[in-house]
Amino acid sequence: MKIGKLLLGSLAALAAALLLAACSGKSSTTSSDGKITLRTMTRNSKGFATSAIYFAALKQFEKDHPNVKIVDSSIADENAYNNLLKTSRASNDLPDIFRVEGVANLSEYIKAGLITNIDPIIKADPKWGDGLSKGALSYLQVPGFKGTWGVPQESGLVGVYYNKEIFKRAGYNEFPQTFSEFEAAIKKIRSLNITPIGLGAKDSYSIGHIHNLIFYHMVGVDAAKELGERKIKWTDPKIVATIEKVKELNDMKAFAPDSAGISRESAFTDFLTGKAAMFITGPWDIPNMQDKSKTKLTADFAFAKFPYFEDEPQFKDNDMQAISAIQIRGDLTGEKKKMAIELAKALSSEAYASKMANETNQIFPRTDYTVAADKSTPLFRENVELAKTSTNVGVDVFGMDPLQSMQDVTRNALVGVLQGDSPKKAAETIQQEIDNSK
Amino acid sequence: MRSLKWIKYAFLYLMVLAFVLPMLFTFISSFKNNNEIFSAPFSLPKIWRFENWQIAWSSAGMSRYLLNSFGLAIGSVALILIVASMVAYEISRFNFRINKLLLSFFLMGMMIPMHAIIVPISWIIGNLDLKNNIGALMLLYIAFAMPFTTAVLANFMRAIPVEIEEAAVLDGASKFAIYLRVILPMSGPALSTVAIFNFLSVWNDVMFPLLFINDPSMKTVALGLLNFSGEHGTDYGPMMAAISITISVPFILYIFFQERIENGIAAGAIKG
Repeated sequence: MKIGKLLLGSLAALAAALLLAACSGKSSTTSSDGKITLRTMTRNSKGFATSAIYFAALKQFEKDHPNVKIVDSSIADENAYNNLLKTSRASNDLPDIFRVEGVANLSEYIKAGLITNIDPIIKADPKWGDGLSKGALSYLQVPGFKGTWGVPQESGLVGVYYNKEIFKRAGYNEFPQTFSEFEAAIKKIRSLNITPIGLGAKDSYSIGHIHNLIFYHMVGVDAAKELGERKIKWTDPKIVATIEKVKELNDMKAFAPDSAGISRESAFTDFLTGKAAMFITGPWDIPNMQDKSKTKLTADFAFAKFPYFEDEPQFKDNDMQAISAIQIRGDLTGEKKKMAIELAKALSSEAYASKMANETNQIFPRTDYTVAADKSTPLFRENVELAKTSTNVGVDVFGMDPLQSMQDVTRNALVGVLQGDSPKKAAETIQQEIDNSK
Repeated sequence: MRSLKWIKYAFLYLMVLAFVLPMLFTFISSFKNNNEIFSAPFSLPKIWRFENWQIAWSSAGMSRYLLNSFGLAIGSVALILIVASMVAYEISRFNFRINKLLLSFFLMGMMIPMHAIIVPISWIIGNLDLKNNIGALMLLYIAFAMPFTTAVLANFMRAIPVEIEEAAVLDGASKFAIYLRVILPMSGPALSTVAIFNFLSVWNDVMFPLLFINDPSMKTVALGLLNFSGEHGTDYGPMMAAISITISVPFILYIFFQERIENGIAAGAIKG
């Protein structure tokens, strides 16, 4: 019977421990030591240079504000992050500072009072607010809602990083300006037995970015807004034509044959080792391209804007920029709200922007910081200069759509095109998602 | 007959390769950087980057996550076995009116996918302020493991001869003593099987820790692996080292309990 009693005793003890543990959850407002707890959730992850600056800023904030404890639950992985955000929102447990992908998605949060309009904060602190880039702020102004709904965090042109030496071998001293010249160059590079464009569409945003660039240069950034406002359809011929261009590139072997199944990292390695002539990405990859321990070709890389379509010269400077932002939870009050705002400011201050630019060559959407000449790489300078030529800027096409599932639906449809689906079918799949949601 | 044997061995060697090669690839890749992994995936590293292991173990916090996962998995499995074996004993050895209904109730639980009820669970956990609470996480694992574990154990216990139980009654054993001293020891193989199965489920689970743990000091190994992916890239060398650390625990457990696990699976196959 001793064993029996022991078992019963252990069971009772475990049950009691579970109950006690279950009932003694920490308050999300204040920690046990009476400090204000701020919860942050972004796409930063340990071990990356830009993230190191973010985490250091959080630590510094705690040091400067001894009454604040920060609990950061950032997750870089896109799917994991989106799952976490969706369930946090559904269970009314949003962090105090978080990040929402896309602009149109913000409308749901605004309607529910879940994010803060930063206009009054900018007005109250012009020293901080006036330094924020106007273009990035205007991106965060959601149609139908007065205000600016986030603190911009990242910017920079998404375009073509290319290997000058390979282009020279293919007979090009300059990067092609028009799409037909671009296609001709792809054919010549392919004849050299080199992959023209490194693409790893297993990470489906890679093909999403290529389509964004084609889309903005063919039909303009405003067409994405019209799709989001349901003024036009994905099945309209001019929109289908943008997907046809993806297929055209795929059919002419612009990408490696297995591009739909390989990771973006694998494709990027091909570019860094000279096996691919181009890589379409944003400024976040510049540190890797300039790191001599990762590639011997640092001097060969250059940056160019995505070629424009001869028939649509009016969209030549409709570009894709990587703009992201953080949102401040909308229903905060009192000291907690004050501290959350202060933290958001610390994560977008002139000092923070300067660190990002000088230490990692990332472009921060502020206008009041300088980058030391010896800290800026040629690729960074080229990106900054070309970004100034943009006349209309979009981020992701799906970002203008109020339907949150569009991110996956559009990207998966594009991967389908790489795997043999027709552009018409891809467009119909995307449009069906919209029609089903009505 | 000889050729049949040859085919059998060839098949077995192929199976061994299929299971060992990915582990070997992971281990070798853990000493490389991204360029080497993608440009020469199957070659030995030119420079053995032991620092990847150091990054994984210390900087990325896998040492801490390993302990967290181990505690969570062992605790959850122990509770699952205690609770489910009692329920299974009740269902399989007692005849009462809702006996079959009760088993059906547990079986129906297997039809509910975790993702379908994640929002209400998240709502409950959030409103009861149970985030960062290992006890709450264990309760969830117990709830989700109950249907399968109860079904397997009840099925197994039903096959134990009634005569043994009757002999124990004649010796004056109470119901609880029979459960503890007769049924549980005789259900060893089934208990081992469900223990391993549940251990791996908890060990590999990302969803619950992702949603309900945001204190970095309480993260689990599966969640810790996400640390190696950045928004715009992944550091595969340290990640492979972390994966090697993660799979080493079930691997070592398997080596120690190999015989028991195999017996459990075989017994389950015959009696289940």
